[in-house]
Amino acid sequence: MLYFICAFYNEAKPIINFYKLKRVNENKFFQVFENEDIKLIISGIGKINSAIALAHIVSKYGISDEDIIINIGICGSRSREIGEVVLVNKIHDIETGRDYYPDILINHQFEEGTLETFSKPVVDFDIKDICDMEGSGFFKASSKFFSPHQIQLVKIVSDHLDGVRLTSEFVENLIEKNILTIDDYINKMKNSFVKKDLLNAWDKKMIDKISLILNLTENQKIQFNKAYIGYKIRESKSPEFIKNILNVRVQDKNESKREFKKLINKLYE
Amino acid sequence: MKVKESSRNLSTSFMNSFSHIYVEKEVLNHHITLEILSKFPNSKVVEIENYKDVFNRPRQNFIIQKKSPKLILAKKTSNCLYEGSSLCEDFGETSFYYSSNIFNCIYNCEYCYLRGLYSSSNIVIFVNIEDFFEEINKTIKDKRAYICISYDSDILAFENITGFVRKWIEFASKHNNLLIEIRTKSSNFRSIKDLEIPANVIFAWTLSPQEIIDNFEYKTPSLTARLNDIKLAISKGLKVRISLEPIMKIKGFEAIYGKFIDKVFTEMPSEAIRDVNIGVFRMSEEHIKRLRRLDKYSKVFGYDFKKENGVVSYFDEEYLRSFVRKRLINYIDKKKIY
Repeated sequence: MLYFICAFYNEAKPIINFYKLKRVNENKFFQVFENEDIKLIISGIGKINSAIALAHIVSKYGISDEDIIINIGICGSRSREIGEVVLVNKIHDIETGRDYYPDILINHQFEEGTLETFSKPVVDFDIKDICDMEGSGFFKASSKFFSPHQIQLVKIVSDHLDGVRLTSEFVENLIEKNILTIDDYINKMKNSFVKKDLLNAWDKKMIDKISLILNLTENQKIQFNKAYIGYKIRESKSPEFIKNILNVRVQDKNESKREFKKLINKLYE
Repeated sequence: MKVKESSRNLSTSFMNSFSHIYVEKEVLNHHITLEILSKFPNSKVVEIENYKDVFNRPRQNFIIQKKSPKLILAKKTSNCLYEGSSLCEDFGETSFYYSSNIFNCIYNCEYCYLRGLYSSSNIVIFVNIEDFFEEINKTIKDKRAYICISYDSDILAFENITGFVRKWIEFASKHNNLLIEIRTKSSNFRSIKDLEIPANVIFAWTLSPQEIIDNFEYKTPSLTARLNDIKLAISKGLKVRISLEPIMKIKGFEAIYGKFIDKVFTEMPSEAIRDVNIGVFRMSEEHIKRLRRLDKYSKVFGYDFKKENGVVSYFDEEYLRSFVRKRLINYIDKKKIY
């Protein structure tokens, strides 16, 4: 699953349009948009809102090693140009003093930088690089569920912290201009994080069927699974001989134990 | 040796190794930090408070990180010297220690205990080597000690980046009560071949059949490259240690290991071999569980294991050891085999 978290609607709108996401009307707590593989939630401004939204969407749709969770939004900076896109490699929470580090493992086309997260709008602070109001809350909540390489923050500089009011169109335009580059980065991550599965559908079906036929205990099932994987690792093929066990009928526990032992020995032969 | 800039493969999207270097604020201006950074002008430098903030993060994925490992430059503030583990060969030495300037390795051996030892596969280099020497001076004052400096990493493989082996050799040459072992799979002896190597520094090469290298020891030099390196060391008058560890089960074990031992020990003059240690793959039960969680399809799990007193090894561990030992005796005095 690909999860997006945006603080407000204008940041999300270009993403919703690009991925053709549909509003989830039954969600009473947040504005959520989705298609089969993507969930986008609008958190509201601030790190607590961001953390709550993250926890909400993850608890609703689940967690897997191949998920990517990404916070996209605008940020302020005194040193960078308006419109510059920054992939965050360090987040510093101004209130707690804590630092957080997403893993940047995949090639990308962005500049990288340090994000400082504040609890209120920044006016007088000395900003090192870029700043926002969500980053640390988003990362801290995300890291309860995901690995640091699955959590990414892309921030686009919208202002020089001079109090200029931003229009909706301006914000949407900043995100829209960069959506193709962001999508390219996401696709590279998706392709790189796919986990290999040694067992194919036939293997899984055989493991289930034989466990049932031999009436294996939970412990025996674990041993069977290990032995089956061991065979496939060594031989680089499925144990075809295992089909013969489909004809075996065990009468009692002792017979089941005997058949099980034979099976394990054969798999490790 | 130049560290392989891995993943420069167009079929993958992973960044090069050391694309990012995390540096503790306290060592930003340490001379070794500056030297290391100068060797990676294109890397992004990220300032950090403490290496543990990066290295010990929760839920890191060791396997995925290994595809684009980062460097972390830090200061070791305690425990520069550890007591040696009972699972490691002490060669009859009583005061057996190990010391780690570097955590983690550039190589990626599937059986390595570093998988699962650390939560991260990023590489930590403790740049304050002077503090290591000071602690060792204090701890082992007036006693003989055997210190392995290449357990939690392959320190010689990093020599072009750190220069640490050179410094350890210089340290050893001033301390006769120390016996230093530098164990390696690298072919990087040439980086220190200009040095006068004192008798209390042992170079130990870990060797495996090429079939084991191909199946388990990713990114390591070939057997031939390692043998050439050993020959270079011998040509300087060094007596080298050969470590046949871990011995791994593989289809055709006898033929593969038999041919391997014949090749290695006919090519090496036996008088230039200080000793040989044999160790069949074994690990603590807890550690093997962690390895399995990390990668249940690892080739390490092709064979079944037995558990004895919390240690896991092959059912026929004794047979494997004695096969290798018997073959070795054709070439090496058995007193030299551990």
